[in-house]
Amino acid sequence: MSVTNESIWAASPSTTRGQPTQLSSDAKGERLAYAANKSIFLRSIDDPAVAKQYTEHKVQTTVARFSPSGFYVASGDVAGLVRVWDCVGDGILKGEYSIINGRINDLAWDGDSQRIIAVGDGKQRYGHCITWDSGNTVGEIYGHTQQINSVAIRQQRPLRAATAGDDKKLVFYHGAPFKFNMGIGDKHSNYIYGVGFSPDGSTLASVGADRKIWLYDGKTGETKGQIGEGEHTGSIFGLSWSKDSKKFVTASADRTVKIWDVEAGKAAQSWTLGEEGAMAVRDQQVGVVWPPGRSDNLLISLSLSGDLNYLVEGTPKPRQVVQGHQKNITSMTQSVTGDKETLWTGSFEGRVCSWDVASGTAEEIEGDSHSGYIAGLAPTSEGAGRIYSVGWDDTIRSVDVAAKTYTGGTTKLTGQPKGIAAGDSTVLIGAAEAVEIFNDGKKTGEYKTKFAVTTVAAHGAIAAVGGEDGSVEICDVASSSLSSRTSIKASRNQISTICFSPDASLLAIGDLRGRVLVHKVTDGTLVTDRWTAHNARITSLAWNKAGSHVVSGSLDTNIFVWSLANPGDWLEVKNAHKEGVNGVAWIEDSAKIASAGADAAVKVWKVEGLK
Amino acid sequence: MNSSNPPQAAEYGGDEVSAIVLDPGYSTTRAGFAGEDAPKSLIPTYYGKYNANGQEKLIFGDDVFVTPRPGLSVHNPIGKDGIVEDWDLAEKVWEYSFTSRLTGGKPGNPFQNGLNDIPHEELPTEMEVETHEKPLADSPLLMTESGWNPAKAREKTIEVAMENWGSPAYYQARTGVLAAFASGKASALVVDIGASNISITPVHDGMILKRGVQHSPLGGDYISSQIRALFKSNSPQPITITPHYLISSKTAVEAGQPPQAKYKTFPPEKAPDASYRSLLEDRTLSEFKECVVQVWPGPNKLAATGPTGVSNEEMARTTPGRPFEFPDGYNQVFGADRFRVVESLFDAKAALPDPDSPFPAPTQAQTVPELIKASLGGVDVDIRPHLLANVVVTGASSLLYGFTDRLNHELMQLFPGPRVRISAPGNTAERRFASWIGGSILASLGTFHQMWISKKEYEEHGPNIVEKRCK
Amino acid sequence: MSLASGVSIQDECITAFNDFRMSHGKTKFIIFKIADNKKEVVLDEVSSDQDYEVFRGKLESAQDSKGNPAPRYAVYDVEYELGGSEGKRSKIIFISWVPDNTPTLWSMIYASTRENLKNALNIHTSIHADDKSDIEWKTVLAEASGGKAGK
Repeated sequence: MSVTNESIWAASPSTTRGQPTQLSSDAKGERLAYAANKSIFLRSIDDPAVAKQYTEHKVQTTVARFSPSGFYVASGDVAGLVRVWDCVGDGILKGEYSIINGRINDLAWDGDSQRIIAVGDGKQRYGHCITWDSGNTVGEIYGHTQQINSVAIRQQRPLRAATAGDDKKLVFYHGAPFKFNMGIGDKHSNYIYGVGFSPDGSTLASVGADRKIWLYDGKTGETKGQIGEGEHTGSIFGLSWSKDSKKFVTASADRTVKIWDVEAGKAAQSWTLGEEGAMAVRDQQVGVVWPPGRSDNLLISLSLSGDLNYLVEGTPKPRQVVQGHQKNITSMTQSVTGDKETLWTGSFEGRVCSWDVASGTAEEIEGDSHSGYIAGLAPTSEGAGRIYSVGWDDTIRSVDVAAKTYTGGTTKLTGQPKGIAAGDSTVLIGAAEAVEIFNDGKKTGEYKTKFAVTTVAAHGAIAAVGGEDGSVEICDVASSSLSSRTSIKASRNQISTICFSPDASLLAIGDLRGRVLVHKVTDGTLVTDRWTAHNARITSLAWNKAGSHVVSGSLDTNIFVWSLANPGDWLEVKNAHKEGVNGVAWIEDSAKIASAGADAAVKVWKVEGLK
Repeated sequence: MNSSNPPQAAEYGGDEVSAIVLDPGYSTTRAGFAGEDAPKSLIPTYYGKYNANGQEKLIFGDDVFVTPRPGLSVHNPIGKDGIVEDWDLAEKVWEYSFTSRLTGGKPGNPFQNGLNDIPHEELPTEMEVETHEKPLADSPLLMTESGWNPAKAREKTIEVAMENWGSPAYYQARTGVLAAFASGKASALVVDIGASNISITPVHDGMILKRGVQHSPLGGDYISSQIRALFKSNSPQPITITPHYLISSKTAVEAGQPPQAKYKTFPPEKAPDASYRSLLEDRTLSEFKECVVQVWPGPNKLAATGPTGVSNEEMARTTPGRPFEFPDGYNQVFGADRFRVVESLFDAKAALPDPDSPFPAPTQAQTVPELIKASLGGVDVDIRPHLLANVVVTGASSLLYGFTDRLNHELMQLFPGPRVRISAPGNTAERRFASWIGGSILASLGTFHQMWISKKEYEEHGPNIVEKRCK
Repeated sequence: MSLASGVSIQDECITAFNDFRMSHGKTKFIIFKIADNKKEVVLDEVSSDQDYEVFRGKLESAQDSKGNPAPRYAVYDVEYELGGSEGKRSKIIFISWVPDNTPTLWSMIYASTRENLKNALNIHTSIHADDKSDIEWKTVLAEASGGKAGK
C-alpha cells in the first residue's frame, strides 16, 4: 500500500511588473531553473509536465541558476540568502549563505563551477563573491550606489565579472579574487537590467530601461559601441547569448523578443508575443534564455503572465506556449468528456486553467475572467459541458469545456461566495447565511439557513450545506429551492468542506481544525470520527470511484488517504504542497490522485494496493 | 461567577476541609472555595488611595472604580513582571479578595458566608478590618504563582499565609502546571497570555522545566497601549477615550462624526488622579478588545505577502470591519486597524509607534513565536515534539479572536516537522481561570491532604519548606 | 515532589502489571481507571485479546457513570517487526487516554495522577492521547518502535 509522487506540473515563474526575471538553463539545454513563489522549479524543456521542486527556501525565491558543471543549483530569495544544492540527486543542501540584507536579484557561477557572485538590494552592501562549497570570500562587489539588478562572470581566464543596476552604472571586475576595475556610468541613461558575457568571453553586453544595448570588450571592459538604437520601444529586461557567441537575444516590455547579430549590429529576428493590441501588459517579455547544447535552436522567453514562450530561430510563431498558475491555486475540480479527463484549477488572482490529465499540459482560460480569488469551481453537463466558477469579485461565470473560454454572462452574487456545488440541473452557491440556487446561469431561488454558511456540496438532487457553527444540513434540491432533510451537529469547529460519496450514501465532512468525519446521508448517523491526523483546516475531500476511500487535503500541507474498511490505517503524503493543499481529486479511474496547492503547482500521485 | 452555591464538598470527595484557592494575577485576583467551578471572588488587583481629613485611605475591590474621589490614585502592588513589589499592599489586596466574599469579616464558617451572599452594595467600601483572629484560621490555602516567581517571593508568600492569615495548611502551585493538568496533560507547552505578561512554560511529567520558562511584557496591557497608539493616529479623527464618569449625557451621532456629549468636569482640587482615569479608560479598551480586535489569522505575518505575492494587508482590508461605540457616543467601523494593534505579538516590526507609551518598542525576541522558540531551545531535544503536540493556550488575552489560528500557523511554520497541536478550551471561563479551576479541583480532592504543608511543618522547617515541597 | 493529586495506586494494579510482564505476550493489555471516589487507581480490565482493535475500541468507548466520555490509563504490549535480520521485538507502552471532551474535573485528576502510576509501574515509553488518531495502531506502533516500524 503506497502513495508516491508521479509528476509535478510546475508553477509558472513568478514575475513582477517592471522588474527582470531570471531564467536559467543547464549546459545540455535539457532543463530550465526558475523561481516561483517560495519554490525553485527545475523543469524539463522538452516535456514541461516533468519537473522537480525545491522547497527549502523560507521566503519568496527570486533566482536560480545551474552551475556550468550541471551538478548544482544556486538559488536566492528575498531575505538575501543563497542556497547551493545538489540538482542531480535529492536536492541535498551544500551550503547556505547570507549574502545581503535584502532581495537577491541575480547570481552567477564562474566557468569552474567554483565561485558565485550574488547581487541584489542590500542595505550594507549590494552583493558578494563566495566559493560555492565553503562560502569563503573571493572578492568584493562595490562601486554601486543603488541595487544591482544583474551580474555576469566571464567563463574563461582571465576571470572578469560585470555588475549593473539602478544607478545606471556597469562595474567591471578583475579576478579572482574579484576586485573593482572600473565603473562605466556614462553609457546607459536609465536602470540597467541585464549584463552578459558571450560564451567565448570576447564580448560583454548590457541592456536596460533606456532601451539601449551596449557592447564592451570581454577582457578589458573597453566600450565597443551601442547597437540597435530605437529598435526596442520598451525597457529591455534581459539578454542571453547563443552558444556560438555570434548572436544574443533580448526580451523587452514592448512585448518583443529580438535576436541580434553582433557583427552586423542588427536585429536578425523579432517576435511579438500576445495577440495584436490585446492585453499588452501581460505579454511584456521580462526574461529570456537561449539554452546551450541544443540542436533545435530553441530559445525561451518569459511573459509577465508567466507564460514560457518556446521560440525557434527562423520560425515566426512560438512553437509552444507553456502556461500554468503563478499564484496560490485556491480550488480544483475535474471533468470527463468521452475518454478525455481534464482538471480545472482556479488561483488567487482569478486565473482559471484547464489541465489535460493525459499530457499534463495547462491552458489558461481566455475571455472575461475573474478579477480575484477563485472560491470554487463546479462542473455541469449543461450545454456540451460547463465549468462554473465563483470568485471574490462576487461573480459567477461559466467556462465552455470544449472551447476553454468564458462563455455566457457574468452574474453578480449577493456577497462573497463560500463555495459552489453542482447537482443534476442546478448550481448551488454558499452565501453568507443562505444558499443561492442557479439554473443555466440564472438565479432561480435562495434558501435561508439557520447558520452562517461556509461550504456547499451536491450530488444529483441532494445537497449538503456546512456551517460556521459546525453543523451540516442535508437538503433535497428542487429547481428553485432546497428543503431540509436532516441536520447534523458534525463538529465543534467550523465546517470547511464536504463531499458526497459516489453513490450519495455517505458524506465526508472536513472541519477547520483538521478532522474528517463520515456520516450517513439518509439519517445523519456517524460512520467514523477516527480520521483526525490532520492539524489544520481540511480544504478538500474526494471519494474514490468505489466509495471505499477518501483523500483529504489540508492547510497543514499534507495529503492523507483514508480507508473506510480500515479507518486506523491511512496513507500519508507529508509536505505535499508548501503552505497548504487546496484541492484533491481522484483521476485515471481512481488509480491516481491529483492535488493542487499554495505553491501554484499541480501534482499527481500514484496510489497502489489500497486496502 | 457569582454562584451562590455552597462548596459541594461531598460531591467532590473532599472531607470537612473547605480550602481556599487564591490565584493572584497582575490585573485581577481570583479567589474562591476549592471544589467550585469558578472563583466566587474576582477583584481588580489595583487598589485606590486617597486622603480624607488628612488620613490616608485605601479602597479595594470593584469599589476602586465606583467613586471618582478627589485625589484618588490607583496603584498595583505587583510589578510589571508579575512579581510582588509591595508586600504590605499585596497582602491587603489578597486578603480582601477572600474576606470580602468568602470568609467574611470574621473568620470561621466559610459555608455560611459563601451561602449568604451579602449584596454587593452593602459591603463596606473601605477596609476597616481589625481582627484579633486571623482570617484563614480554619481554611487551608492553595495559592498559584508564575513559573518565574523567585524563591524569596515564594517564601514571603507562605510566611504571609501561615503567620499573618493563620492558615492551617498551605500549598503553592505553578500556574503552568495547573493549566496543563486542567487540559488533561501531564506534559504540555503552556502559552499564557495574561495582562502584564505573556509566558511560555514547558511542563514535563507534571514538572516545570525551569530552563524553558520564558516571559515578556507583551500581554493585555501592552495590547491596550497599542490600541491607544492607534486611537491617537486614527482617521477621520484621533479618538480620545472619555470614561463614563466624565460624561453626563450623550446623543447618538453618525459613524465617524464628532461626539455630541455633555461632560462632567472636576475642579482640580476635586479631581481624581490621572491614574484613576487611566484605569477606567482601560475598561473601555477591554471592551474594545473583546468586540473589535482580531488577530490576523495567518498564514504568514500581516506585513508579509501571502504565499501568492498578494499582501495580507490587502486581504485584511477586504474583510468586513467591526463597529465600536465609545462611552461618549463616538463610533466608527474599524477595518484593517483592528488586526494591526495585536500584530506585534507575532511581529515586533508591526508595533504601532507611540513615544508616550509606557512600553518601549517591542523586540522580536519578546514575541510569542520567538518566546516559544527560546523555550523549546531550553529543553531536551527529545521532548520537544511532545510539547509541540500538546500546546495549551490559556490566559484572558488569548481569547482575542483568531489567536489560536495564528499561533497554529506560526508554529507549523517554525517547526514544519513535528505535529503541532493546540488545545484551547472553548469555554471563556476555563480560558480565563484555568489555573484557578485546576487548583480548585486539586485542593478539593480528599487525597490532596498529603500535599499540604501543615502549620507544624512550617514551624519546624521555616518558610524554606515551600522550595522543597512545592517544586 | 511535584504537584500531584495524591490519588493512590491499588496494589492489584501493580500485581496485575507484574503478571503481565511475566506473561511474555500472553496478556496483551491492561486498562486502569480512577475509581469514582477519586481516591485510587483501580484495575478496569486485563485482557489477552490479540486484536488491537478490541483494545482501541475499549478506550474509545470508555464512559464515566454519567455517560460522559471518560479517561483511562492503559499498558499495551506492542509487538513489531523491524525487517531484515532484526526480527521481532516487543515493548510495553503506557498510554494515558484523556479524550478532549472530558470534563475538566476528570482531566485534572487523570493528569495529576499520571506520573504516580507511571512511576509505580516503572514504564518509560508512554503516549499521551487526547485525540482518536493518537490511539490508532499506526501511532502506537511508531511510538513503541521509536519510529522504526510502521512508518
